[in-house]
Amino acid sequence: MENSVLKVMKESEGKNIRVVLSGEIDIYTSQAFKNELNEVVNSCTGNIYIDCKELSYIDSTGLGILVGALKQMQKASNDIYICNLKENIKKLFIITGLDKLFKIEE
Amino acid sequence: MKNVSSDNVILVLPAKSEYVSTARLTVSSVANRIGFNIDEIEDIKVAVSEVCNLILSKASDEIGQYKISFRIYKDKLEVTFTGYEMNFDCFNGEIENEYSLYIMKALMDSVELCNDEHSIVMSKRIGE
Repeated sequence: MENSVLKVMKESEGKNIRVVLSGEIDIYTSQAFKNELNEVVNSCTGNIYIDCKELSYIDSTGLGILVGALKQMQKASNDIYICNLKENIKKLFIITGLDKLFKIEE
Repeated sequence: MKNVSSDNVILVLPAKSEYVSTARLTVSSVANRIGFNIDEIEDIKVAVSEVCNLILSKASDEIGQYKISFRIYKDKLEVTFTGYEMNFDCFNGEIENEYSLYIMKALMDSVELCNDEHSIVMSKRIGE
């Protein structure tokens, strides 16, 4: 079950912050993810880049948290970029229309 | 595919979020067993997890456990969620997270959120 553990790493890149996710975001890990992301949103004065290269799973709970964070960021005219999505997760962004809301980077 | 046309695998889970991953692992195993490909298994896993979320978000105070039945037909997998030793109330029109519904309906061939037996039933055909 090691790969189901959610890890969130944060790196400052000037005004921007890169958030590197690994593991799974589901209803069990979503509160920890929300807390970590809120911390980033509150401290970031630029854009947030969320690197999903090692993220193996996300559910609607996690997607809802991302949308909440994006709304906060856009109040300050900043954005969230979603990077390196695996195909199975990109599919969920497309189904829910979130691929049009977020800036998706390969 | 021999001897799997009417098999049924049943899982009873506590209504706690830490066990949703158990549902995902179980359905992955069952779906793999009957010949779904990797992408289809991922679809089913995500959809099953969304129903677990729905049950947990609504029913954790009143339902201690719930039952997931994985019924294996020749051409499809049918997954049924029911309250264990009690009934769910129906879920129609009560989904707070709209993404959840989009995901379930897009990934499965059929989704019934409230049947006559107070169950949630979803199915996916093999090889489509």
